Amino acid sequence: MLTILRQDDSIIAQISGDLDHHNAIEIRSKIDDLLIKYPNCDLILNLSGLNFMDSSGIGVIIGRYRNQQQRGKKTYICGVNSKISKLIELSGIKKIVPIIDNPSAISTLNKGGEAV
Amino acid sequence: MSNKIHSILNEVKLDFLGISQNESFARGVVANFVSQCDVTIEQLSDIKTAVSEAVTNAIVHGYKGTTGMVTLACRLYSSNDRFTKTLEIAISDNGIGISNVEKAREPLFTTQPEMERSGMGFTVMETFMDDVTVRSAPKCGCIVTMRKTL
Ligand SMILES: Nc1ncnc2c1ncn2[C@@H]1O[C@H](COP(=O)(O)OP(=O)(O)OP(=O)(O)O)[C@@H](O)[C@H]1O
Ligand SMILES: [Mg+2]
Repeated sequence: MLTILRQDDSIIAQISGDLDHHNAIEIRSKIDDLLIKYPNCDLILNLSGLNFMDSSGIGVIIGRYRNQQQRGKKTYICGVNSKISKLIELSGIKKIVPIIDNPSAISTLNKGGEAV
Repeated sequence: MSNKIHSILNEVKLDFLGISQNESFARGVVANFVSQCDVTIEQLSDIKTAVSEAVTNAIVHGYKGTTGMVTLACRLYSSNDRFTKTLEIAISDNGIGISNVEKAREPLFTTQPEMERSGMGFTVMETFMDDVTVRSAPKCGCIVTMRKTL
C-alpha cells in the first residue's frame, strides 16, 4: 500500500505492507507519476509500515534514486524497521541513499545542518 | 558433518502458475509450513525473503515474457542430535535456464538492469539460508535448493 504526502519541497511516500516484485510495479509508477508532476521535490521513502521487502524493493529504491539524481533532486529513506533492516544492511544501499530518522529531519538537512 | 539429517518429519509439494500474485502465496505457504517448528521472528523473515527471491527469479527470468508452472517443495528433517531440525526448500521452473550459474550467483550480477533488478537475489538467499545449491542449464529450467537448520 502507498500513501503519498507533499510537504514543503518534499514528496513523502509511505509504503506499507509487502514490497515485492508484484507490488513494486504499481508503487513505482504511482511515485514516478507524482515526481513528474512535482519535478522540484526531493523524495522521502518512509518504510516504517513495511512487513516484508525483498530485492525487488531494493530495485525500487535505487531506481527512484537514479530518477531523482537526473533531476538534481535528493532521495532519503526513513523508518527502517526490524523486518527489513537485515536486507537494507546487506544491500549497502545506505552508501547512496541516506537513511534519516524521520521526515522532518529533511528540512534541517537542506539547511546544511545534521539530521536529528 | 556430525549433525546429519536423520529422518523426514514432514513434506509439502505445490505447483502454481508463475504469476506475480503467487509470490506472496508461496511465502505464506512456507511460513505456514515452518510454523510447526520453534522458529524465531528473524528466522521466519529470512526464510520468507529467500523464498520470495527464488520464486521471483523463476517468474521474471525463467519465464521472462511467458508464463509457466513453478514448483515449491518443503521438507522438514530431524537431526541426529534430536535438538535441531533441518528445513529444505526447493523451488524450480521449466524456463530458459542459466548458462553460467557461477556468474549468475555473483553479487550484483543481473541480466535485467533495465527492469530495475540489482543482482541481489542469490546473495540474499545465500546470506539468509545456511546452504544454497543451484542446478540449471540453458533451456532446462532451474532448481534452487536451500537449507536452514532450525
Ligand atoms: N530461475 C531462473 N531462470 C533463469 N535465469 C535466472 C533464474 N534465476 C536467476 N537467473 C539469472 O541469474 C541472475 C542473477 O539472479 P539474482 O536473483 O541474483 O539477481 P536479479 O534477479 O537479476 O536481481 P534482483 O534479484 O536483485 O532483483 C539473473 O539476472 C538471471 O540472469
Ligand atoms: Mg532475483
